[in-house]
Amino acid sequence: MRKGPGLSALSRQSIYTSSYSTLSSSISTSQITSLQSSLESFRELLIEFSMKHKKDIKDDPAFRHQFQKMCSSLGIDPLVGSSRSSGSGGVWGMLGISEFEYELCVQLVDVCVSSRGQNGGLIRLDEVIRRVERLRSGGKDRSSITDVKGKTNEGDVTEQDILRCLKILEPLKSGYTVHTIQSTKYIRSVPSELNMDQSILLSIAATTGGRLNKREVRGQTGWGEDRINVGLRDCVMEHGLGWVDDQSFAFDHLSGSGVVENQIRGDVWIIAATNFEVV
Amino acid sequence: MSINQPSSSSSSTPFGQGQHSSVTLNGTSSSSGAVNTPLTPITSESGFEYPAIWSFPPFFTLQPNPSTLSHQLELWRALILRWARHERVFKVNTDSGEAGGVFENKRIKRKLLPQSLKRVFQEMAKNGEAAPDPPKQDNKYLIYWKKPDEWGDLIYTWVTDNGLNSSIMTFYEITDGDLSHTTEFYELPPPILRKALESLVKRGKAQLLEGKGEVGEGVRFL
Repeated sequence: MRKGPGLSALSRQSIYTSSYSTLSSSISTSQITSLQSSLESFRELLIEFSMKHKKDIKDDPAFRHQFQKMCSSLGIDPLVGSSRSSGSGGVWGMLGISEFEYELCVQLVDVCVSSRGQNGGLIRLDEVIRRVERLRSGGKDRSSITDVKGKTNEGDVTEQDILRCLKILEPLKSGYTVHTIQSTKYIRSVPSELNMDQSILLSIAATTGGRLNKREVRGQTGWGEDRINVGLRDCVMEHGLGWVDDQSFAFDHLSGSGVVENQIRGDVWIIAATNFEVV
Repeated sequence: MSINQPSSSSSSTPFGQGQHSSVTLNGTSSSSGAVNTPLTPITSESGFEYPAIWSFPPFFTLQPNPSTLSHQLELWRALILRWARHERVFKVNTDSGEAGGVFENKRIKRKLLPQSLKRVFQEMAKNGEAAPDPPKQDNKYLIYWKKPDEWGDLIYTWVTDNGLNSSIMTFYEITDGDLSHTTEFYELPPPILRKALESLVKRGKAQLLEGKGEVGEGVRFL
């Protein structure tokens, strides 16, 4: 072939380059297509497999574990359904738990666990619903719609849904329990028991928008100083349910820690009983 | 006032609505007792939205329970950064007890007291969100709502866009010159500017020049 020092060599060069890039892109397109089709057929096989072995997956923990391990090593999340595209309810749908409930359980646990640092594992049920809906709607708060009772949209999460989820979660021994305090339902997501005094303090807090003031507690319960101190301290230190407000205390605030010689200084606010409005 | 606010909105309180401040938010001191007014987010005059937890009195007491505390510190760090960015606050004095701004909610009569403020800023410094300036003390902090190298990038882009590379500029020209008053780094405090430029030096994009007599320190962009 003749070497081309002239102008034509330049254009030839660019023709080569462009045809190479066309070739490479067509190769990668065909690779992607074949990969997609094999993934699709794999997914079908996986569903077929899970249908066939439905009983084993449900009843045999070892088998279920292997199945899950297989899914995760393949990078398939069995929780993610494909209902939107194909109408089938995802892999778990085959197994008798509806995708909705499964999702809701995951979201319920998510809300309870992620708020634990703040509320010590006690959260109002309506707050759970609000946060779950927030998760489901991708960050938008829908309280403005659901505030008006009876006007809830379809697809909204109801109290019944949450209670059903708690039932589903029961076998996991997660210890999620429902407490009714002053006709408000709370979910307790840590297994430690609340003793009698704690429950009484909570029911007082439920009427005050969260605030527990020693003097008011004494007025309502008739407890002695020590009992009140222990009760409040446990709320804060043992369970993390309460936040101390040491500036409610007329005192020079030297330590700033809210606890002096094992005694709570100032008011304690039960955060689960405090009404936060998030816009 | 210990906070340097370049666009000096003077010493006004964060709120104009001047609600009279009862001791408790939820009106528990009133006879009805069971008032359950929700704590709501509050928008300041300058348009900054304080989250609902900012109206929660215990938020201003650092919590004795360690796991509650770590959550609380996270909330504070995020809030301070968001606030400082919005108000263009670069420096905070943790010692005065009159830090104002985000650190004090006059409505509920609560503020972060110096010791708590120091703790929060130590935490921020640990996460690279603030730095004591001068170093090795805990009274004065710079707030890094942008990290120094981010400031550096911003300045360098501006220099290139304006065809100023290879020219020499004084520190003052960069942050206070005619060309820069529309930039985000307008009135950037010198210590932050220096750190920003040092990050550019490290990446071979600038050279620092010592000041001579009347002329302040300068920099040559490469």
